[in-house]
Amino acid sequence: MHRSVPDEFGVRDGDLVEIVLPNDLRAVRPPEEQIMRELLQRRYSDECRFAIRLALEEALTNAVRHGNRNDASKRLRIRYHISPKRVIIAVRDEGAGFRLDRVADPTKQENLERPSGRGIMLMNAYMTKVRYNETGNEVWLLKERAARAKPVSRK
Amino acid sequence: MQFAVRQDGPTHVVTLAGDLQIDEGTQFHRRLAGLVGPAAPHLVLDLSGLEFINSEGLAAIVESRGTARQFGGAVHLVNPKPHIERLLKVAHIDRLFFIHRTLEAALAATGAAKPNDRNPG
Repeated sequence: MHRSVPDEFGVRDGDLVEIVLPNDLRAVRPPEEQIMRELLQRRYSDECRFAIRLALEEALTNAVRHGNRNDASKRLRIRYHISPKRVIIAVRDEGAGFRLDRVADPTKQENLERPSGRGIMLMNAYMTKVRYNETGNEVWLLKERAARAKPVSRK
Repeated sequence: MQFAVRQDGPTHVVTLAGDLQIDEGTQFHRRLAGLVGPAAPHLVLDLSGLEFINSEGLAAIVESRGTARQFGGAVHLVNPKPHIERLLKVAHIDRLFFIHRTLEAALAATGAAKPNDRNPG
């Protein structure tokens, strides 16, 4: 757990671009598109861009729906840093946070047919590292450009 | 995302193309949920043109499977691109669906209404 950028992510707070948004999935499209354009300009691969977009959307959707509970008076904060070697994105909501150990594993047989609950698992599967702040209302995503796709786990 | 529907007897065929945008999940869920019923319990989703989908989109597809089964039907997926098929595997939901390489195979399977091709129902 950490108060700001996880040390292992290798950047400082000052290196991050910050965007504050209303708690609305329509409002997050422009910054998402901006991040994806920057990745394309930096020639990140299709595979990397798919992974980053997926993880970013899962983080944003969780923040809007679960963190801020669809409350239009609340806000989201996105911070990000794109370098030639890695991408770091943080998404913070104004909710009370959550306990990671209380989230059901969506890959267990008994949970497979539940429609929701896959966001955290997908972030973990597609990102190099995923970390949370102490409260659980901010998620930090790290994607190393050179990292190979993680193998698909089977239970 | 482009969403086109046609009905073929007891089956709705939905062709998805492009990207499911982050703010389109709810609408996608509603549109899929409205298709399956007693007169048309089968759903064929042609994914060959689908480039991007997130967990909300996957949730809508999983839920449509539950509805189809209530009416004695099934959901059949057609020819997802490799990165989409990998996503289905990562999410462990590939095993919930019939996945076919061609639309013709999917339609034939809805007529047969039995597990075949590459995955059990």
